[in-house]
Amino acid sequence: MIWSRSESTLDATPAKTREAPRGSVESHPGKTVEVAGLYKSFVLGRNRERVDVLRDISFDVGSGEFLTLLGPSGSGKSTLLRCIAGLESPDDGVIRIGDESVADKRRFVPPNRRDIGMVFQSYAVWPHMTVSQNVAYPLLNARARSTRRSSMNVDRDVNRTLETVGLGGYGGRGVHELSGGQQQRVALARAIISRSGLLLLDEPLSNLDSKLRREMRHELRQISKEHGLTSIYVTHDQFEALSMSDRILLMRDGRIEQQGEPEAIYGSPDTEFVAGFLGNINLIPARVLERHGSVVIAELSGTGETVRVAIPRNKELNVGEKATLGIRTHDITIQEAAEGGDSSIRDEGAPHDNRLTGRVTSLQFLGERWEVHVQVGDQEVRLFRYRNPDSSEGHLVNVAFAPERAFIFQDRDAPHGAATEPLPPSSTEKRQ
Amino acid sequence: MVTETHAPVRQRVAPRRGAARKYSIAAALILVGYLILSPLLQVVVNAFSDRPLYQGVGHFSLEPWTLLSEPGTWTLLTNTVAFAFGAVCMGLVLSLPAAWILERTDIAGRRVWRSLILCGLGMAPGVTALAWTLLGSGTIGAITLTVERIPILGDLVDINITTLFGMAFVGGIIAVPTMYTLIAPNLRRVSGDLEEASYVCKASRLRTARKIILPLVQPAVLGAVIMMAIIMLGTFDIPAIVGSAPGLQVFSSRLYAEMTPQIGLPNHNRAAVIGLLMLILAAALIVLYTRANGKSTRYAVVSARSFRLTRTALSRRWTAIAQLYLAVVVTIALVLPMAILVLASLQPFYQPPADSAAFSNLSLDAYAQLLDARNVRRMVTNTVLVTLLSATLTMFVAVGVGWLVTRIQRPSTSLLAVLAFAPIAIPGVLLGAAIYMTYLYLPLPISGSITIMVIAYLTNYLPFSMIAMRSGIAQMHPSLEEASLMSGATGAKTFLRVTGPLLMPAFMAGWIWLVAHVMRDMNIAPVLASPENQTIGAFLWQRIQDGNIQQFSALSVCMVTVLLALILTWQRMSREEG
Repeated sequence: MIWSRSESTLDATPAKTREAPRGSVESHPGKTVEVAGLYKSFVLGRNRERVDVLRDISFDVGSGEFLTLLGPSGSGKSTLLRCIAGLESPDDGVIRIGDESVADKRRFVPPNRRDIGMVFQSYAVWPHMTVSQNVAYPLLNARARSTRRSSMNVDRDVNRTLETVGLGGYGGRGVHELSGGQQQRVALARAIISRSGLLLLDEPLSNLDSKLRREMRHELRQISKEHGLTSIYVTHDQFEALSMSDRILLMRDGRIEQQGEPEAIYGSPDTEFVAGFLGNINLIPARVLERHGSVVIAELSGTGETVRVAIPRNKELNVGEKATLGIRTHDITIQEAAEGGDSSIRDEGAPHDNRLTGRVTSLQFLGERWEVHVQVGDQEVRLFRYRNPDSSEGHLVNVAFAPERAFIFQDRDAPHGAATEPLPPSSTEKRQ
Repeated sequence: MVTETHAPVRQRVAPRRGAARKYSIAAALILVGYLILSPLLQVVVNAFSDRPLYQGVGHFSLEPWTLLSEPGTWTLLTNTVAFAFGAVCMGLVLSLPAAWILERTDIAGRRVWRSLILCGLGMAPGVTALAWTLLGSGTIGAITLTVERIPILGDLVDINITTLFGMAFVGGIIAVPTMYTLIAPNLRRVSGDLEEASYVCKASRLRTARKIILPLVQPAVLGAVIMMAIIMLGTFDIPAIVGSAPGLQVFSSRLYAEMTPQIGLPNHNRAAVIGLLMLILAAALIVLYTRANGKSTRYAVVSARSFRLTRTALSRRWTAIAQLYLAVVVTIALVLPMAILVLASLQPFYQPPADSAAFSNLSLDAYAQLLDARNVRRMVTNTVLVTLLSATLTMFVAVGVGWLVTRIQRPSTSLLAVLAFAPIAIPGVLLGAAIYMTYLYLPLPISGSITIMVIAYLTNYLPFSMIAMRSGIAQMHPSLEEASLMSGATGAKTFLRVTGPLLMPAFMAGWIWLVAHVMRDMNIAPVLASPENQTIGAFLWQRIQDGNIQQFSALSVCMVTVLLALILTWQRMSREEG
């Protein structure tokens, strides 16, 4: 019942409104967040080993911006969020929320004095309270501190917030009577009721099933935008990150690997890790043979094939050294090749496309698309096909991709060494 | 073998297993029903009879109830309530903060403190009671005399343990390990997320403790409180020892006095009336508990979805306060009583350590006497036999009944559960008395034997070991057993090879708890004691009646040492396994 209603609100508004969040700072009540030079380490295990969880993290969040901290488990994204919430104290560095420094060398503001809203992965709704009691809790605490509110006002605010999250009329229920998705909404209502202007979300959707998750993705973003909230969202799910965020901060091993708008970071990943984490991509070991300005010629290991790759003119690349070629699975086309390797038959691609010849090893039907595996020399190339492929297993085929669609990543001795300096968002421009 | 004959084998086994279950439920019902109903019947019949049942069935009579019109009875009731209530409050004050500190803060030395608190299990109530009488009595108390000498403080403070408050104080000390064991796991189970969510909602630490954590553990705390109150109701040795000098009586000590009067014949009918009054009190407590807890089934949803163990960082000042607090708990529960007992066991006759004379004539004579005495050797044999037999038998019954009750949902198993938990409402000393009456009446020659003691302990401790086993069984997913049955094993073999080994840790924990409690018991043993089956509890009680503090202390020191060794060994074992 609730779900059908929320769906209809979804239909009424565009699923995603990417109105330049950084431009219109003044119009939002959302708080800005500044993090500079943040370090955090934990002492773990029996042998008291010190593990660096955050290393020199710096970034800003604009007022009303929806920022996502994305990364695999153990990358430090949750710890970073907990530092902002005040649930962890950083070893070093500065955190500012709005105009106030909440953590620096001299000062640590405890979480209950930071005025933020937070949604936990486990929801953390209190089982001994009703829905209303859960949601009213922050207001009552704030009242105890400073502002005087009449209980009528509290009731009104609670009901209004419950309406916002689609739980109108559920106030008297015990939280144990609610489904997981509804408990999630209680947690959200509790986080936004005190209008603190900053919303922290720690993997809030990871415990929901996939349909609910898709719906909540849109709704979360919508609510945060409607209320002008600055939101910091932690997830390991690249689809959540790409679909919800104004900006993504991709983290790895306690550092920021790359940051930028979703399209920018997807379209021009700086590293093999970023490219691999954000989506389906073929990563093939290669060697850089030549470079002519913005065009690189590379040899794919184990195939004898050479390909051309377009790269930004200013990108550093050492000729003659090992590298990795990246091509997204949906950027590859496939044609049946005549036996004997003759590729002169009908061709979908542009004339300057790279072409590789190989044999189809597997063909899986996945509903709206097919996943095709093609063996090219020693390498396997995966690609998606949205129409019924003409070929079947064992057939000889040509796979093709445009030089502009491929990436080349230089291998590094240390996979996350000094070269992963976080780039300011302006420098990660979209290619093409 | 498995493959070809599989289908016929299953067809043949299935009905047989059903029958086996039916028989085992019936057997368990008969056993448990007999254990609990036969003493209860004695109490009820004796309370409304004109003569004790062992002299043959008499006439219905309300004569025993004239007890109610006697002037002392009302005081008896208020004393009992004050003692039980005070002891539970004291126990809560000592155990809840300790559990909180050790489970939810980053205090240093957690393992050592926890171990020390659990070592309190080794202190018998009677032993602690006597030790604190030696420490705090108004006339001979070591602490009393020491405080009196301090110039200003001595005039202001007047320490005397031989009061109702003192009884409650000692009861509270005894309650600490059990209450800690009941409360601490629940405090640990409150996920850190629930606490952190409250901080993010602008609540202070104090408010979070009051509004979030305490309400969440409230059912467990209430359960511990009620259970302890019933145990205190049936504790006879503390009131008897602490209250003897000023003549303070509670139901339990009065019951004992009626059963074994200094002069004249025991009056079973009056004892039964007191017993019924105790039962009514206990039943009222249980009703209170179920009503308070019925409301709170919803508390169970504390979701295991994603559990986070969070330990609050304490400031330096709070760390100091917490460490001091833990030190105080361990000192009053363990260090001070043991110190005074060791001293008393070395003195030829007790002298408070207020002046140097107390330390002048120390010797090991008391221990030497113990080694020489003939009846001591028999007492030790009896104790070992009774302890091991009771603990083992009780645990086996608890495993069997616990398994039936948890795994099979039928009206008969619900009845079984009710019967098996019923003894929890029968205060210890009353159960001892009722069982004594039972076997005086029944033509079974076990009165005054080891068997009667084992039966008494089995009945008394069955609910407690059931609690331990049931949670162990409930945690074990039925599919583990089903997988064994599907692999072709019989029900018995499954129990032996899968269920048993998986339950071993819970079994051992319960067994150790039982051994400690049976050995230190001074509620049931004195009532059932004869020269033949005397165990350490009865022996110690005899020393107190004789005023032989020296031997009492020496034997107590030995017993506590054995129990501490046992507890520490078990702790080490379970730590290595975990």
